[in-house]
Amino acid sequence: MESVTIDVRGLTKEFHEKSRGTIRAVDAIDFTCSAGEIFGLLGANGAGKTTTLRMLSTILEPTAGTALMQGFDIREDPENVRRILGFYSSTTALYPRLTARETIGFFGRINGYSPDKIVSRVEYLIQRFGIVDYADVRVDKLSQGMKQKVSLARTVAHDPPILIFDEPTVGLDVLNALEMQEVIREFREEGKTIIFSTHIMSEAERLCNRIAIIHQGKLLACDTLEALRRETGKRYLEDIFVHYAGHKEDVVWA
Amino acid sequence: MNNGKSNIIRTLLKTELLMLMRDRRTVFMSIVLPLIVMPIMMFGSHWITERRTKKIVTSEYSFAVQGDSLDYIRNVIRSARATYDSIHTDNPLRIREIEAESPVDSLASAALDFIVVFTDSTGNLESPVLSDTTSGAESGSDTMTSEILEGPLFTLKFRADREKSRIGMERIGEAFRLVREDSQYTMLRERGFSIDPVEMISTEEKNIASTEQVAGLRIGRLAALFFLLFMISGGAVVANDTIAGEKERGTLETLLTSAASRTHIIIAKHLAIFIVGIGIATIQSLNLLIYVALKLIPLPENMVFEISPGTVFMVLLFMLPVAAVVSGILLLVSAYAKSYKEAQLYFFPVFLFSMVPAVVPLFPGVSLRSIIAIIPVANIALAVKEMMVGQFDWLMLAVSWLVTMGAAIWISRTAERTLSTEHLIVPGIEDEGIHYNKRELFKRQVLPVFAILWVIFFILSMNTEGKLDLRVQLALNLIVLFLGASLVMIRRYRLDPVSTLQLRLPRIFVWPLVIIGAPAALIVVSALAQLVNHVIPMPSEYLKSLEQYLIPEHIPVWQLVFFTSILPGVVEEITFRGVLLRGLRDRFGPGTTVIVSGLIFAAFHVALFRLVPTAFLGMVLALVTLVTGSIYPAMLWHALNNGISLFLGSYIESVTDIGTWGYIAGFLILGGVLILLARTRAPRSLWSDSSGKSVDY
Amino acid sequence: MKFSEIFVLYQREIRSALRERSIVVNSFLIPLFMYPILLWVMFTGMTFIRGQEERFDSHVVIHGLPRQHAAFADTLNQIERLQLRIDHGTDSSDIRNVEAVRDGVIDAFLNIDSGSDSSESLVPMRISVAFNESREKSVIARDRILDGIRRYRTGVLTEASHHLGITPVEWNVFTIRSENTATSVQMGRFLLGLLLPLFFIIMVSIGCMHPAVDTTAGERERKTWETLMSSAVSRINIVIAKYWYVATFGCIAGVLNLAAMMFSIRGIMAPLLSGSGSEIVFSISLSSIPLLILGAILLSGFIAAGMMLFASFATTFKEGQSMVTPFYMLTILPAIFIGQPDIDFSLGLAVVPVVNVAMMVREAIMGSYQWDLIGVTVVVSLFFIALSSIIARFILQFEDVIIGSYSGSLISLLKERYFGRGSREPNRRV
Repeated sequence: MESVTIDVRGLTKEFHEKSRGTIRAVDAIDFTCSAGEIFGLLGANGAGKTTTLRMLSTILEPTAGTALMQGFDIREDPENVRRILGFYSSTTALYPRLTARETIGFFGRINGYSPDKIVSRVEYLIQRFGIVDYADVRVDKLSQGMKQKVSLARTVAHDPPILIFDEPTVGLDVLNALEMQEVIREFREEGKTIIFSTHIMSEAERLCNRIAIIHQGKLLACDTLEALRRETGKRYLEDIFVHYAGHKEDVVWA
Repeated sequence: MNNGKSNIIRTLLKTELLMLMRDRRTVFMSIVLPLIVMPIMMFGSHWITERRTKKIVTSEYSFAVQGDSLDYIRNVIRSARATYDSIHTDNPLRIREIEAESPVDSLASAALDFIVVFTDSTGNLESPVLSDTTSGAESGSDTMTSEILEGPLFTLKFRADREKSRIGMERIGEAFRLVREDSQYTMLRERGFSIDPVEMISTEEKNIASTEQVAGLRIGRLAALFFLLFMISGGAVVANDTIAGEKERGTLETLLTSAASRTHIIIAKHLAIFIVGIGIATIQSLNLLIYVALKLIPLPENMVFEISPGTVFMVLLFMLPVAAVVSGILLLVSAYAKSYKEAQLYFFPVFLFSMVPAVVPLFPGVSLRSIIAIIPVANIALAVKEMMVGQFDWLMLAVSWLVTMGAAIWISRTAERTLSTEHLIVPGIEDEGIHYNKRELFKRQVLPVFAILWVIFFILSMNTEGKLDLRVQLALNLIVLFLGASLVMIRRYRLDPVSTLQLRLPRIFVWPLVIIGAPAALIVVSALAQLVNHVIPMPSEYLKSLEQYLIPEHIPVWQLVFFTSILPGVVEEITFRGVLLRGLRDRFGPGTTVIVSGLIFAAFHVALFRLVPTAFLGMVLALVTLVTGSIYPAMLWHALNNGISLFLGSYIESVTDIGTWGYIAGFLILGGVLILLARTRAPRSLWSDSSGKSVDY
Repeated sequence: MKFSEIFVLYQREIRSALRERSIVVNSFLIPLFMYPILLWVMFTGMTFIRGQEERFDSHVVIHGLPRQHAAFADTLNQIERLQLRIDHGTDSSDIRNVEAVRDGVIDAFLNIDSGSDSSESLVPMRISVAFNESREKSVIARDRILDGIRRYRTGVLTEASHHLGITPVEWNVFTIRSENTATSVQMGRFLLGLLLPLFFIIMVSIGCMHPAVDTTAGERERKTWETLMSSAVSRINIVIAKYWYVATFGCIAGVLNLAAMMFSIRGIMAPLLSGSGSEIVFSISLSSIPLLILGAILLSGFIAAGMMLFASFATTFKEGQSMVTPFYMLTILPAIFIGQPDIDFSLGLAVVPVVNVAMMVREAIMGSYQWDLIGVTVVVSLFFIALSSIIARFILQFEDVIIGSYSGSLISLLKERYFGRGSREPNRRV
């Protein structure tokens, strides 16, 4: 499937701090993504990954440049962008006092999923993610792994074609992380466009169709893993990363 | 898509309320607890007042007699007591005489409640005695005389710091007065007075107001206040949680990435607070009413509780915009805070601040048909009182309702904007961990430091007022406090004095402008003061006391000029237009700096009534300093200002009326001066460039 | 109980608390600044009200004034801000005027009935004062009128007495004066004793609340609780250090509050009360200060203990606050009632915690020291503090309480595991 669903053009974000002056967190980034692919954003902490994703999900407004998500401009049409988007971050939490079922239903509804189909959609997701046993238990009583499943379910509650995952496996144990990766792969098979940011090299290697390396706000490389290997002559993603980032200043692993 | 939109709002609202209901502890705290606590409090206070009255009635007061003709005293007491009892049949006076060796000591040790002292004819009392009960205690007029008295004199000695003593004295005093009056009447009758003295002039009070109206007044004055109290306490917990709490938990971000628009989200949250607040306020009010209806809480002074349903409906209708404003404010506080704790921190001052408008109906004689009608919340509070008394000024009522509702919508919009303000919704964008250099610290700490300075200044002036010589007081305030604080700050934050205080000469033409501007500003300030006095009149005694303070007699002129004009002119400028202005300008834009520094300057001149004129002057001085890039013009201006008003005050009796033309002239001149100064401002003056680098001419 | 260990922990608690804005505000700034600001606002408000009242001209209509009492109109006219209009109309004017009072057109209406015989030189007057209680201006007018009537009446009778040959001295019968033998210092202490204890309790409670919740529930929320529990220090020492820290802050809040009140009340109340004609000096004797400090210590000791006990069952700050609030209310409620001047410090009050300290403080301010009751107060307070440490020890036995997985409150725990033994026996650590 070749249809381009995400088209990022010259996306830039500057922050003005009284103490530090102007910081360019994201510096004129261009890339595209297609349906049915997992696109990885790789970079150290503070490189600009999260800021980029926040701009794409319309939480932040770009200083310059724009992006088209299935044709909707993030600046002109943010609401429609959000309607076709599912955003998942390890820092975002669930409402503790809602049950799993209510959570999924709630997010489905406010994201514009048709109300008459909502109930069956919720059921489907409960089955699919194996939440059946605790579907009516309050979120604050669930374990970490269960919460993760509920989070995933609510992300896709409204069946969005585009998914953004911001460092989703942070803080997860090995089994849960692997399960998360498996689910993301399933989403790809369903034809969704997935942007996936991480600083864990092995994850990027395993999951992504194409990888973009971001360092200090700039996009340094963007291609398939094989192409990057050919280009740099290195095998492991870590070395590839250092190859690109190390040409600039010293990489700071914050 | 209207249906879809309202669907989203409905979903959001339903979920908010659902989550709230499930927080059982919060529900308990907000609803059940006050339901129990309030009646207990009302009951308790009622019980206490009952106890007191009973105590007063059943107590026996012990006393001693002193002075000339002890038997005469005892006779008078006996007949006084009898007269008193015949009038106050349900509340007889129980007294007992006690033999005491030293009555004064016994009074001090509480063995006695009061002493009756009698001095027979030509008692010379020149010293002013504390209160005169001859004209009747109810008149309230201060008859503090120091006449030389002739004739018999009864002195009732008591201890005002003991309730029983005070009450005993008042009652026996009243008894004495009754007996005295009786004697006078008897004298008149015996000498053939044709009319019965009692009938001579009799008074009957006729209260035209219906019981409904009186009850309406009593309740109406407090209705808005109580409603606000309930609403705020009910809505606060929801509000703090609904945005600030969500930020903390990370659920706000999830919400913001959903398809629900910012408007939807805010409307839903606002509605949630609104509904909860109103719900709780209603429950509390009903609770109160039920207790009153069941007579579990008796009303004071047999107040009859009768209000027509029409009035009730109107009152409820008018409480709606208040509820909307209050919930909006709570929402706004939550939107600005970054965590639940922070929201709570802001909550307390916000709470106090929003109760203030509801106090307006307590002031006598304020009418809705005045400027109050356009002040949100205050106008509704007043409207409710007027409606409950039966006054329906329909035009003003409509205006009030619309203004307050408009305010609520405006607040909601402002809250909505915070959801798009990045540094408020995304944690971590504003870094906390930067190492601040001293200059940074100064910028952040300048306001708190001045707050502390204000408190010290306030306490100092309150404790030394009138006790010290004017010069000493001024020297203390100015040199020790202001100058001292400024020097300490300069030292502590390692500020460069020259650039901080802008100790550089301005351009030449500035000086004549200042000399023209200062008197003009004085005229404008006086106009402002009169304007303010019109709206917030000062009691005449206060005005008189102010004048007396400013013009002390015994000080030579040159010292007066020095201490009241030159010294403040220099020192206050250093403090306010030097250190403070610098600190503010580092943080804020030029306009905000001028306004804030003006207000702070006014705050240091303590009296609320002089707030506006002083603030104006402060702003003018700040503006001049910013624009000319130098502190010296402001110093001159300030000194001129003080000097001229000193001369006007002491050497010209009344320049109260400069006439409208005079005011207009002053206004124009001042405006002209300021505009000229602004137009010709130095290229790198503080106005445009906050870095404050050296200005080169 | 190793004191050095406790001290290290205590220091850390204090240091991190001083960096927490909400704690500093609630425990230091509010007690310190609230008074000057509050009292200043009150003072300004009262002068404002007085200013407003002065402004009112009372518009009064009088009807039926007999010529013999024409001087009455003069008396009324001499009243400042009273504008008198004489209605010479016929009978129906009564209804008109009464309606005018109801509608607020005029403020009061005096209808005089002086009997039918107008030929006499002296006639009695029956004055009916019609006013509208639902309008403040009307009430003020009525008060002014009544005052005028009183003065006129006294004048008339006095004059009559002169005409009848009674000498002024005879007529005076005797003069009555009252004399307050309390010194200005005593008066000041009396007022302080009424006001301070209540605020004292409130301030200590507020000063304790945030630290208490923060150091228990707040730590759980920040996830530093586990770190602490897994360190080498003994659990008991941790708890003791926290307790001392909370009590310290509560104590400081109380003392700061007393000091702030002392400094500001003088300046503000004095002009307010100067109108009543007596000089009042606000000061407390130096010898009462130790007792005040003792009161602060006892009070904060008790309140800190209670609040911590309740808050330690919460997992978030917000939850902690709501768990502590009932206890907070319990301490404040009785305090409100003892703000009455006629309540004496008795044995009955001395055994009630919080109230006994408030009474002790009040008496200390007023300069009376009932040592036996003070002793009882100390004993009772210490007893309750000891009781709470026993409860603390009890609850610290349970693992789930320590870890924070017990969901419920202090009450439910006590119900289950102390009173309802055997219903659920969880792991106990001895």
